[in-house]
Order: sequence, then structure tokens, then C-alpha cells
Amino acid sequence: MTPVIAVENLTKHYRNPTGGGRAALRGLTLEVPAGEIYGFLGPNGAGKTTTIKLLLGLIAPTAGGGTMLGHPLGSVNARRRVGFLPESPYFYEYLRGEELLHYYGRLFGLGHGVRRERVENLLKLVGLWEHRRLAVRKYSRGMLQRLGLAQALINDPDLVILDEPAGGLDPIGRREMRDVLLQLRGRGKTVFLSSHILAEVETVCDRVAILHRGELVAGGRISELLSEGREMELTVHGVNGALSRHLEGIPGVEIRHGTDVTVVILPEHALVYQAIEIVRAAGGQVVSLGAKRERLEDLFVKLVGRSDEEARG
Amino acid sequence: MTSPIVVIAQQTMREASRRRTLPALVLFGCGIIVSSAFLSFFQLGVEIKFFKDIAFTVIFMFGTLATLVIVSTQLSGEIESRTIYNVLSKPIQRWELVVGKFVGTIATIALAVAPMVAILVFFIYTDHGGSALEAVKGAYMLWLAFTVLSAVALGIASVATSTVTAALTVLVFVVSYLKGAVTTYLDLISAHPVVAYFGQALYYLLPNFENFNTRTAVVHDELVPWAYLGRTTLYAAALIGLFLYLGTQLFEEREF
Repeated sequence: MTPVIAVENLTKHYRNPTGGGRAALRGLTLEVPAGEIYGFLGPNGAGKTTTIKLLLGLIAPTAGGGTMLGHPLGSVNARRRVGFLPESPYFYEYLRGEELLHYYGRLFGLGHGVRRERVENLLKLVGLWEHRRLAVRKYSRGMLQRLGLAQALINDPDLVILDEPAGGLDPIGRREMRDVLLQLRGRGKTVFLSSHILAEVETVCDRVAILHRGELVAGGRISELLSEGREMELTVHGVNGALSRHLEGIPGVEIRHGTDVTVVILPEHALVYQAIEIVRAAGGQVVSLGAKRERLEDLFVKLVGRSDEEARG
Repeated sequence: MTSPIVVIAQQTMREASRRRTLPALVLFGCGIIVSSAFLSFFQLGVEIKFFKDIAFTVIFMFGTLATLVIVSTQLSGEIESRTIYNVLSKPIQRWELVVGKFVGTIATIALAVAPMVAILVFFIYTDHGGSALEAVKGAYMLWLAFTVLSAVALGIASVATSTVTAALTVLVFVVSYLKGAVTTYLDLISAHPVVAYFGQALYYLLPNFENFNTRTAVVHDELVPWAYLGRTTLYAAALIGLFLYLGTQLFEEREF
């Protein structure tokens, strides 16, 4: 299947007026398959927003290129089928919520009937129907974010590009946003999601790409990226000083003391029996045992840290 | 399907009408014209010419101010308020945004100036103070000047901030009005060929806003020939085409 986004060697250098410059993106190559939620991760300044701007033609690449929905990056034909929610969206403050959606709908060439129906449905979807006649200047940050999502969906896009969509949303708002993303995927849409909230990304995304200092440091299915670990996690109750010292004697062990339980992370399966014997012998109680599932946050921190170390030489 | 240019133009008009500055300017301008009309009627020896002169001056001043207020907050305002990201991510060409802003601006100016012109025409008609048609022609010529000024401002706004746009547009406007004097002054102060070429370039590149000034003719009940009206309209169209072309080319290259 043709990827929805395919970029190769995408590079962007910003030149300073005084000379010199800064590489915001260095040779990015990636493919986003259709019908998936694709997480685009990276610390601040990694090049995520630059990539999104390149996709939409808001800036021109220094080198490389690609396609979006089978059309050159930034082309009108591509943008016709794309919905975009910028980071901290800014809207015309003098317009009312529904007027804003009508305006964007008209820019997509939608007729009045279609627009009216979509505006109503979308405002209801994001929970702003009751505030549709309120001037945008009176919207809270969370409401603006919801309105931003609604305008990103006004053209019933095949590809939705979201730059930090959960910013400013409360936990309920985040959950609703997640539900919308899952609904979109269920309808065969592709979502390109740039986010800092890794737990959110891990929950909804099929694949991720991790960007750091303008370079891709990892990419692929989340299940594949996180399945490398062979660590085991043993949760123990009743750990005292002596037991803790005995456990620390296990090579490569990591111990995290909580208020009630202690989590013992073992680097190998083979060490599980040894650890259990130590706990039993000291009168402790094993609460649970399982393979330690690496979280996306762990992977992110590890990869970004490694990349920083390599950069330092 | 409505053209994006029309959609953007309508949006520009809506924005201008919802900002308080423009309606305030229109009301103030109308107020001055009406006051001057009554002043003309109740003061002996003061003719309708006085009223026409004041009315045209007010239309010119308030029209210029309205143009500056609208244009300087349009394109560069859109960039500064970051609403541009949402607009340019929609399926529109960048030149359509510039042209749409221009169309919206000149339509708004026409609507802003219309009540002032209507008052002028009403008093000329009721007081038998000359030809109302000539007054409308004179107002049309002023509107043409505003359209050229809008194109100049949009050309500047395609690369500059709103403050710089407003300042440079005022500068261009003033220098254009005084360009004869400026080039003569440049000739006088320096015999250097570079200064002379600069003076020549300034003279030919800047719009000649004096071409649009038929106030004196209208005030003194002279006819504004249709041929002159046609020629000036073509002159304005050429200038608008030139400045919008430059503006769209610069805007195409701009990064956000």
C-alpha cells in the first residue's frame, strides 16, 4: 500500500542574517502507512514542527523531498485532503466558534449544506456546541484546542496532522481527544501525531518515530521497539534493610523502594529464582512477577540520552 | 464552489467591520461632513464650495487612514497573530491570499467611504450646489488612490511587520505626493549621477497620487472628463498589478 507520507532525506537549514545557520532537520527519511496513528516524538527543538511545516509547504526544504497523499509536499492537492491542528492554535478572535469553522470550510470549497452539517457534528464531537455563538476571544485554552481539532476535521480529511493536540486539555479532554483519534483510525484515516505526552502516544499509536537534534534516532512499530527488553519485574512486600542488602547482591539488579512495596528489576530471567529464594528466606512476600515491559518513556529517554552522548563524542 | 479569493475578501471585510477603529472613523468623518454642511448653510457668505472642499478633504483623510488601518493589520497581522498557519494549511495558493486580502480591503474602503460620499451628494443635490455626478467622479478618483495605496501596502506587508508596513506605506504615500519636489531637491543638493538616477527612479517607480486628485475641479464646478477618468483607472490598474505581482512573488518565497 502506498504510504500516506513518504519523505526522503528531508533537510532544513535555517540561515542567520548575520551568517552561519542552524540545521533544524537532517536527512529525515520516513514512511507513514495509511490507516494508522503515527507518533512523531522528540524533545523540544528536535525538528518536529519543522517537519510538519515542510509537509504542509509552510517552509521549503533545503534538500530532499517527498509526497503526501501521493502529491508533492505542500501542494494544494495534498492540502485538500489534510487536516491540520497547529501547536497552540491561534484563531481570529473576533469570530464566533461556528463562524470560524464555516470560514475554514469555505476555504475547502464546501457548500453551505455540507458545511452546516459538519460544523454542527464537529462542534458536538468536541463538546463546544453550546459555545458555538461565543466569540473565540472568550474561549479558554482547552476550548481553543477543541476548536482546533474541529477545524482540522472540517474537510473530513484522509490525513490528520496534529501538533501537540493535548496541550491545554484537562484529563477528560485528553481522553476525549484520544477517543477521537481512535475513531478516526477506525474510519481508515491516518493520524500523524506530534506529542510530548508519551503515555498518550503509547496508548494510541501504532508506530512512532523519535527525532532528536533533527535526526531520526528510532522508528517502527511500538510493539517492536519496546519488545527488546528481557528484564523481569518482581514486586515484593515486606522488604527490610537486610533483605534489601541481599537483593542488591544480585548482579545487575535495580531496586525501587515504594511506600508499601518494593520493585526489583532483574536483568535476566535466570535470576528470578535466586531473587525469590532471597525474598522467601528473609520473610518477604512476592506480590507479583512479570516481564518488565519497557515503556515508551524509558525508550525515549534512553535513545535521546544515547544520542546526546554520541553528540558529545 | 466559491473562489478562495472571494472567501478571503469577505473575511477581510468582516474583520474590518468588527474592529472598532473603522466604524469609528466612518462615524467621525460623516459627523465632520454633516457639521460643515450646516456651517455652510448658516454662515453668510460661505458657499457650497467650502462644504465640498471640506467634504473631499475629510473623505481623503479618513479614507487614507482607513486604508492604512485595514491593510497594515491584514497580511502582516495574520502572520504576527499566527493565524496564517491555519489558513495556509488549507488548499489555497499564497497569491490567492494576497489578492483576496486586496479585494476585501478595497471593497471595505468603498463601503467606508460610501456614507461620506452619500452625505456630500445629498447636500450638493438639495442645495443645487453643482453636479452630483462630478462629485461622485471625484470620490471615485479618491477611491482609486486608496486602491493603489492598498496594493503598495500589501506589497510591503508581504515581507514586513504591521508596524513597518504602516510606517513605510505612509512614507511612500507622502513621498509620492511630493515626489516632484523631492526629485528637484535631489537635483539641487547634489550633482552626483547616482543621486540623479535615484531621483529619476523615485519619480517613475512611485505612483503619482496627484493624478487622482480632482478635488479642485469638482469644488469649482469644472467637469472631470470621462477620458481622464478612464486613463487614470488604467494607470491605477497598472500600478495595482505591479505592486500585487511584487507582493505575491515575495510572499511566495516567505517562510512561516
